[in-house]
Amino acid sequence: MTFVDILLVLLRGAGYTLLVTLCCSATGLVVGLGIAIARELGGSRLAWLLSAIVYVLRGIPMLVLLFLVFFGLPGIGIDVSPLPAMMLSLGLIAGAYLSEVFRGALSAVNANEVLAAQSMGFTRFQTLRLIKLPQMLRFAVPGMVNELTTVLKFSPFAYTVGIAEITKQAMALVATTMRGIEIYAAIGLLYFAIYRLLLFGVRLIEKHYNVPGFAQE
Amino acid sequence: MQRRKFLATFALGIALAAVTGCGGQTEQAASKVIEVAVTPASPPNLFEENGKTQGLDFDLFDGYCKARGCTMNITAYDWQGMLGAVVSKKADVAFSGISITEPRQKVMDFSKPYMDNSWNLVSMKDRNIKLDNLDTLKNYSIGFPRGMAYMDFIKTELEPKGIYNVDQVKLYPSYNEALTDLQNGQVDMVFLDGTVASVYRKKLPIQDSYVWEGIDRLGFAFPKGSELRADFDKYLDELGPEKRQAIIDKWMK
Repeated sequence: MTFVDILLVLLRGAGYTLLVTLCCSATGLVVGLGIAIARELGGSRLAWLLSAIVYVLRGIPMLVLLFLVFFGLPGIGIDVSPLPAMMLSLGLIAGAYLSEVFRGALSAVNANEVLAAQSMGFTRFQTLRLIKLPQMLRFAVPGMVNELTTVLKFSPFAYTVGIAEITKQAMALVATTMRGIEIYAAIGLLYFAIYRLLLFGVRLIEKHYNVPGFAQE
Repeated sequence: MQRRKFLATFALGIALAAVTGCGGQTEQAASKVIEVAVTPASPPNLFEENGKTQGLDFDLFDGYCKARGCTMNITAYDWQGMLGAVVSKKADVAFSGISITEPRQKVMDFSKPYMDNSWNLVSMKDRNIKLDNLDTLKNYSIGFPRGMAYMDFIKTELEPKGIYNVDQVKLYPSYNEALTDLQNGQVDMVFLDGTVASVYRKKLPIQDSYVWEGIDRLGFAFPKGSELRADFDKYLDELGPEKRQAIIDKWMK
C-alpha cells in the first residue's frame, strides 16, 4: 500500500468531513448572526439572556454537548440523527463564538455614521440593516475564517455519532495496516487541503463584495 | 444597491446551505432491520478491508441474521460512541470484541460469552524474554494504552502481592505508540489481549513472554431489556461450541 493508496482510502471520508464542516459552519453563522442582531435590537433582558447562553455554550466541552444531544435526548423521546446532532452541538458552539466575533466587528463600525443615519430619521432596524451589518460582515471576515477552521478541526467528533468521515477511515486503516505515522501524516495533508479549499472560497466571496478603500488598512 | 445585494446573497447562501445540504438522514423502512454499532478498529473481531466490514464477530452475527432472516444496518462509531449507541438504544446490538465487565453490565445487557480472551505480555523476539513465573516481572518495564483494564488488574491483583508496582507502568495513547516504543527498546514488554496479539504477531517480530488465561470474556452488547439478546443466546446454543470454535479458529490462526 503506497502513500497514494492511503490518501485514496482516506478521501472516501473527505466528503463527510466537508459536509459536517459546511453544515456546522452554516448553523454557526445563522446562530451567531441571529444572536448579534437580537442583541442590537432587543432590550437589556434579551441581551442578558443571550449573554448567558453564549457563556454556557463557550464553556461546555464539545464532546459533552454532543453526547447530551445524540445519546441524551432520545431518553426524553427526542431522536436526533447524526448530522443534526453535530449541528446542534458543534454548530451551536461555533454560533456562540461567532456572535462574539460579530459583537466586536459591530463596535468597529464608525459611530458617526450611525449618528448620521439616526439624524436622517432611520429606524433602529434600518440603521442596523443598511449601515451596521454590511460593514460589520466585512470587518468580521478574519474572525469568521478563524472560527470556520476551528469547526473543520472539530469535525472528527462526527465519528463518535457514526458519521464515516476522514478520521474514521484513518482509524480503520491503522488497525489493519499498523502504519500509523504515514496515515496520520496523510490526514494532516488532507485537512490542510480542505482548509485551503475553504479559504479559497472565502477569498472569492470577500473579493466579490470588496468595496475599494474599505477595511483594507 | 451593492450593500443590499450583499446582505441578500449572504442570507440566501446560508439558508440554502442549511436546507439543501443538511437535511436529516433518510429512514430505512424495512421490517427486521437490526441496527448494528461497531468499531472497525478491532481486528480480528471487527475491521474493514477495502471498505468491507468483516471479522469474527461479524461472521457470528451474520450467521444469526441468515438463520433468522434479518438484515444488518451497520454504523461505524468510535469506541465510546459505539457503547453510547447501545446504552441510548440507538443501536440494537454492538460487537467489536467487547469485554464483559461489571461497570458495563450495569448499563447494558450482554449475550453469553462467545469467546475467552487471554491477556498477553509480549516482547521482541530478539530479547528472548520468557517468564515461567512472575517472580522476576518487576525487573522489566511494562507499557499499554491509557484507560485499559490492565491498570486495575495490576492495582488489585499484582501490587498487593508485591509482584509489580503501578509506578513502573508506561502509558501510551494507543497500541500503536506502545509497540513503536517496544521496537525502539524503550519499554521491555507490552500488554496486549489475545485477539489483538494474534494480529500484531503477523506484522511484528514479537512473542508472548507471559500469558494470563480466563480473566477476560467477550460478549455481544445489547440495550437493557433487549428481546433480541435472548434470541441471540438461543442461536449461540443452536450453533453449538464446535461450529463457534471453527469460526473463532478461522480468524485467530
